[in-house]
Amino acid sequence: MELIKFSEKVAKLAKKLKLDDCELLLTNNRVLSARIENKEITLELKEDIFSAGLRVLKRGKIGYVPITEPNFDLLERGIKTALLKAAPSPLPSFVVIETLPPKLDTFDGAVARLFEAPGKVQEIARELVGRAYATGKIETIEGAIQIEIEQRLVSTLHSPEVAYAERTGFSAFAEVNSKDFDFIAGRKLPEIAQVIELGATVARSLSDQETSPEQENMRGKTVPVIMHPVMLEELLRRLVAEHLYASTVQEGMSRLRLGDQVAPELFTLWDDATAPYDGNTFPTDDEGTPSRKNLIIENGILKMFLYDRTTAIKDGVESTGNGKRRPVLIEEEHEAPVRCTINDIYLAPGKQTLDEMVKDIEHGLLVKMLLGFHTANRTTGDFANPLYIGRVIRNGTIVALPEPGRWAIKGNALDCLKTIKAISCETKATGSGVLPWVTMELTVA
Amino acid sequence: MVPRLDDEIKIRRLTAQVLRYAAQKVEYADLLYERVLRIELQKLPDRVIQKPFNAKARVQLRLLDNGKKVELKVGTLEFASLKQAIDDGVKLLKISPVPPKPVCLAPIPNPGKVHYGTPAPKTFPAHKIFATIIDGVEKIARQIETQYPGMEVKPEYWFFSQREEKVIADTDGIFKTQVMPRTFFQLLTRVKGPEGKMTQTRARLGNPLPYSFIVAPAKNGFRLSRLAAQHIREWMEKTVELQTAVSLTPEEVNSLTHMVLHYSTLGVFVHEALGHNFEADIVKAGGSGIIDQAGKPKGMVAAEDVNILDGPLPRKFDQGFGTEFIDDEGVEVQTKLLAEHGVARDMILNRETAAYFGLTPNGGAFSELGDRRIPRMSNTFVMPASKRQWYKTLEELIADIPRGIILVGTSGGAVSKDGMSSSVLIGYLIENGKITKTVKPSNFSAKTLYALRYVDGFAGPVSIADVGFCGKGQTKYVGDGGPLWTRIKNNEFVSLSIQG
Repeated sequence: MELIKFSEKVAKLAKKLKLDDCELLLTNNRVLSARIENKEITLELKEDIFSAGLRVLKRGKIGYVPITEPNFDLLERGIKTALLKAAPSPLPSFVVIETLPPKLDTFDGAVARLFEAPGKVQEIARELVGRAYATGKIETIEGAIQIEIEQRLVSTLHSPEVAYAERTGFSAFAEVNSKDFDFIAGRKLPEIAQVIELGATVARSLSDQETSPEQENMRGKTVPVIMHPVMLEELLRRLVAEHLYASTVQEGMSRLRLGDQVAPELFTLWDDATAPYDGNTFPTDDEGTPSRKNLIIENGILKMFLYDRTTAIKDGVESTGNGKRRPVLIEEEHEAPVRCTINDIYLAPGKQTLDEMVKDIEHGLLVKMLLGFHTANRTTGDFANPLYIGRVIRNGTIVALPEPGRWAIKGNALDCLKTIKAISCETKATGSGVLPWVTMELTVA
Repeated sequence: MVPRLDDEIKIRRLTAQVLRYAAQKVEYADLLYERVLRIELQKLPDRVIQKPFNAKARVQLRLLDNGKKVELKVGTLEFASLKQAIDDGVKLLKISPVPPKPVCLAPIPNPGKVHYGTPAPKTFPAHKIFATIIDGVEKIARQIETQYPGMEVKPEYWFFSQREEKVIADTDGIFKTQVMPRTFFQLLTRVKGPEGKMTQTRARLGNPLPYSFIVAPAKNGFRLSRLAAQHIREWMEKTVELQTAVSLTPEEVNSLTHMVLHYSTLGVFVHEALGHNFEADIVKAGGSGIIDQAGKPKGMVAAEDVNILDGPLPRKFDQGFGTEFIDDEGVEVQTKLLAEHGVARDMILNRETAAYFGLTPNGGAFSELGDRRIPRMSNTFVMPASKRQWYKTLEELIADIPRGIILVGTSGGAVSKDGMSSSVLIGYLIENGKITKTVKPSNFSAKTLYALRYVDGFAGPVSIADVGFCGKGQTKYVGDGGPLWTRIKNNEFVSLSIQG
């Protein structure tokens, strides 16, 4: 599927239907994965996975058309139906894409070449499993090695330029004994030696000791918690970001104000869709606004809110390049509404090592994943969830795993940012950002 | 009258052509073609999005040869694409290792029956439906604001109604189709109190029914159905009620003698705590806390008075958001008895795991458009195994509780091997058999094997009206539920943490 040709045909159709403007997000994916289920490895291929999300404007009305087949009869029917008694548009027109950022790094030939050698992908999976079992600590192991090539295009009817990129993806994941996991995710081929050690590294890190909040006398107490980058991103993306969106601010529902000290001085946070080989890296957002880096919180002070074009027009400002198709619940990207959405999240690393941060804790926890965090309250930022994956720290040493089903952690995402005491110098690329470990305070519920 | 696909002949011809090609290359192949025509309305904080046309379709192909399997997702039902996918799949099969136990598929029972489903609209008066919902919800929100001065009620919602069509065909000559409707409404209510305090709830309605389930015909067009209007009002009022809700300390939670779960809270609890553990692929991988890797149930998972089932309510294909007639492999969906008198029994099977464990498939294989077909729950629910402790009303059920809590609603849940978590939207404190206070949202978690062992009473009829979207790497519509109220003795394996 050639997306540029498809977009040219859409432009012709738009003219035939006398549309005033038309905005198009097209994707076409190919994915190969080797799924790991203990010693069994199964290959799975996804081909020609095409999606198109259109927004169309005619006489001040806006219509939305999502389709998954590159079929112009279907598209024409969709556009006509969408414009029948359509609602007034908050946008007078779509962006005219004139200048694009310099070419961004989104494609790694080494990943693409793996499609020609699928045996290699399977071999990596087999090696990962073999090394994990060699530790003698495996009861169960689940995981996957996945490679992807995505073509992605954003265009509008009156743009001289088309935002287009081919993006590769590589991810590896291993969960051991349902007790801990690790992963590598990005757009570039990582060191294979690192990938094949994933399961073994997790297995070796599992303590035989398990403990409960009662044994630790922690129930109901506020304790120091080292938040793993994966959980930290969840907290920032799901709860904190909601209060950074101009849409929430305009509605009067944000708890944050510009210029407020929302975190300690050591906390500097930005979002970016231009960083090499990261998850959201693309020349524009889904509305055609050029991608950029936004410094959101500097030295703990809130510097800006995030805008898409609809909210930007309301406030008479420029979009910050955060108009993305973000699902409300289960929609695929092409059918999701365009709205304020944070890009890849970056938190400036600190000065302490993770080891030093652990040593500084007399009695506390390391939290890697809270179960069911998607159910947290985005309006208030409150959460209270079982601790699924983590460690117990006593006298500056990691000593035990939390006993399953016995621990829960509660707090408020906006309040706990203010309790951050330390940030590690080490960082982890999560596939949608790069974040360090942080020490903060939370309550054992 | 069972509905048919308009283009059934064309699709039958094409799938036969594809499968003939596959049969030249592999021992067995089957395919699943799914397409959905949907209308959709989304009200976000600052905008309303109306989508009167959303068309989705994907194909899943499965090739088996020499005990090996490859699964392929393909974008379009076109011979050229599918032929290419088969060629690529054959290459992958060649390099695939033979699994520890060769893959085979249990036969499809009732292979000769072709057509399944219930009538589903082919066209929708979308804008009339959308206008009715927008006006109806807004009107109720403003009524609530008048009723509770100083409260700002901010509703967000998502409505869709769709016609679903699927075709299953294989190289052994199977050809089956299913056509059915499905309609969904989710309301997220946010309330800002006079002092800026914010509260939030989420409520859902969903069924395998046309849009008239939410928007009913009226004299001059449409109106919100009585069920929808009542549900919307009830949950907006609850969100206001949360403004004055109290929290409980861990000591106060420990002092509770009982928890009484509404079916909407119990349903997600049963789905997460127990349901996933009965899915045969999880069992096979050693991830079930209830059934060992050889398929042998580990025994007691609930109190003696508890049966746990999955599937449609017997003979009721118009209820339960996860209800279908056939699964995505063409197997008729059975109502599975997962636990009987508290003892684990059946698994949820696809054809592959049925063959692996030497069982007959029971209609548990589902996929998200074009994804691989794996064992999934459809509607998971508790059914009292006897009438012994089954009361008629909530008042009777709580009359002898000195200090307990009623838990209502959910904003979802999650499962791990040994435990589960579900978020509860609102609670009510019970003191000496009476409801005394509203309690803030909470999180309910439990150790899987012990979760339902302390059930000691029920009240009201069984409902599977709770609506969910189950994850597991791909999304599946599900329902869940149980008796209107279920009473559980507080115990060391269940924990509740209240927000605030």
